[in-house]
Amino acid sequence: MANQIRYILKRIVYSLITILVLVVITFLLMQLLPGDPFTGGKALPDNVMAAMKAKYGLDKSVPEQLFQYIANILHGDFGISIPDGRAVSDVIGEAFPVSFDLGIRALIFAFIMGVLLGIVAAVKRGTVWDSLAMFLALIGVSVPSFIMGALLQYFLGLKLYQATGVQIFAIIGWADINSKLLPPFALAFGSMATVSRLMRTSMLDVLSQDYIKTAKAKGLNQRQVVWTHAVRNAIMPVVTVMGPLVAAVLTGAFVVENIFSIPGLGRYFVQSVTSLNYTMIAGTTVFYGAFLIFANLVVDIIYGLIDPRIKLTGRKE
Amino acid sequence: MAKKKKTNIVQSPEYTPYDVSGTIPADAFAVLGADTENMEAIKRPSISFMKDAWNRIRKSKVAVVCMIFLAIIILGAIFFPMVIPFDYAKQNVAFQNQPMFTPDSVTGQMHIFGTDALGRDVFARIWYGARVSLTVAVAVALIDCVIGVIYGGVSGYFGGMIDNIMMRILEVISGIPYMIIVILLMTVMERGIGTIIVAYSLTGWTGMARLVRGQVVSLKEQEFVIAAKTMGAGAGRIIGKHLVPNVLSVIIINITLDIPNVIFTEAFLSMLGLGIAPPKASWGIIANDAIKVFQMYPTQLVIVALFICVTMLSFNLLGDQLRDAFDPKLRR
Repeated sequence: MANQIRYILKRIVYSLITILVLVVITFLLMQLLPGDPFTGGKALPDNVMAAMKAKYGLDKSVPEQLFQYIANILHGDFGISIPDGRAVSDVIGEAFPVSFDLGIRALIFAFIMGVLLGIVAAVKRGTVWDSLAMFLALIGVSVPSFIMGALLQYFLGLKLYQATGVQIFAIIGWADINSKLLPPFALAFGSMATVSRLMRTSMLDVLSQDYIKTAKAKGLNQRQVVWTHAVRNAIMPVVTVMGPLVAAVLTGAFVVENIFSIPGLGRYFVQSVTSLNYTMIAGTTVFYGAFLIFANLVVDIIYGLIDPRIKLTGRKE
Repeated sequence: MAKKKKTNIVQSPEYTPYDVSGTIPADAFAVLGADTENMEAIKRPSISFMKDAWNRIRKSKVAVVCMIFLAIIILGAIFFPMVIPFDYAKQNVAFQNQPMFTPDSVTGQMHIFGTDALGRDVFARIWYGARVSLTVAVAVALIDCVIGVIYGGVSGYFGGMIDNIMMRILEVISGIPYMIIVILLMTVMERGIGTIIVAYSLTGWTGMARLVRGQVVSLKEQEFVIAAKTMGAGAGRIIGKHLVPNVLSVIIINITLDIPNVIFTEAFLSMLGLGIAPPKASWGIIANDAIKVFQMYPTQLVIVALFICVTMLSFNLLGDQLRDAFDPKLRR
């Protein structure tokens, strides 16, 4: 148990350091930009300019501004989006739940489908099913999500509608259930492929272990061997890639949200990038980064908790 | 057949399976002596590790098809932009979104893949875009490889405190989601090929560094390293001459699998409007342009999507095949 707590504490400290580094990098990069938020607009008189700079704390030295920035972020204040005057934290609070909804759907889909495909491929190794599953996985690895999204939009959203007259899959938006089918699928396809390949390798490894032979020798049928003995153990390595998968899904959403016109944070992020809305870029970057680092931390901790080897030593005492 | 033989033996009484009449004459034997020269000689021609891997990769049909396809793409990217009569950036607003195989309205030359929303020749753009996308991909993969090998090699070889510090730094860097850092860098820096390469390389080397370090840690205790050390080789020589060649297979596989990732990232950034500045073209920019008119003219996207996907597929498949070919466990 002490080992586990030490491991978790270590992970937390690393995550905090990583977030701090990310904040500093973001801040310094924003400092590198030419000009300040008040250039480009109307030319202001010097005293007004000085007053404005004082108001936003821009007259202080860079280290002071950095500490101010970190302190503000700790208070949940990511600054003001200059063009429309809204607080960045408000925009995040409004748009992120949509992205989160999309991401969770995609993740669940990717995980379940990937694991199932991997199991089928491993159990039916060398058969048509195996080739089919691995072919799907290869397509998933090689077709970028934005191309997948556009193709789905065209064939399932548009052509199917024209052919049947029934709108099963909405082309854009994020409201009814029929608009919530294609985007998660487009987003999940690549991750599903990763999961299924990993699951297959892991299953094949487990299926050749002695305890599987024992289970078979005991007279258990195929289903019991696969589901209660093999899958439980084979799924462990798959859990470790959940962290990178969350990252892939969240960043993939930048483009998928744009293609499907979903009002999520990814879309705002991209808009702020194209309109060079720097406070918004910095705010969302820090938020996304912190979220992903946190997600990685959670995955690591969960993995530490569910790893049967660690549990076993815990039970002995 | 066997049955006939059996009856033969039974039917001939004079047949004796072995001679029992007397002793074997001594002159039937000759002393040949031990040929010490050739006793230990290796009869099979010696095959180096790389040659063995090459022989095996050549036998894999999938790998050969991938290599041929990639060779076509690479040669096409080099030579097609020189011979195509159209310029990739030349617009012809009166001649937009033409289907495949349309002769040009002015010169009558064939637009093999048609024209895009600004009347530019898609065929020329695809091959010019291949140049840009592949240059970025290969450059990034090589830079990642160099940084990763040096970092991982030094960290793994020296071990102890240096290893500890270097790995902690690496952990922090790889903890930051790379796509976010790349996007951030792309907003701050000037848009262009160089920027993409720099932005991606700054974060992309961590995977390679980890892999190389792991290999070096397990290799450095082996006898040939100790032998080199005894003979007075310095750290740089041991890492460069003895350890890196042994890690080469891992490095080659990783480069092959890194390239499709970079192609994807470049396309992704272009989709966000953060890639190379127009009028320059890359596959990502062509795809982005094509998606805008996709509902009306789907062929434009399908063409560029095929190029992106099949190239990524080829690199991925080739990487998988290389992994098998380099695997000493599968060596025959």
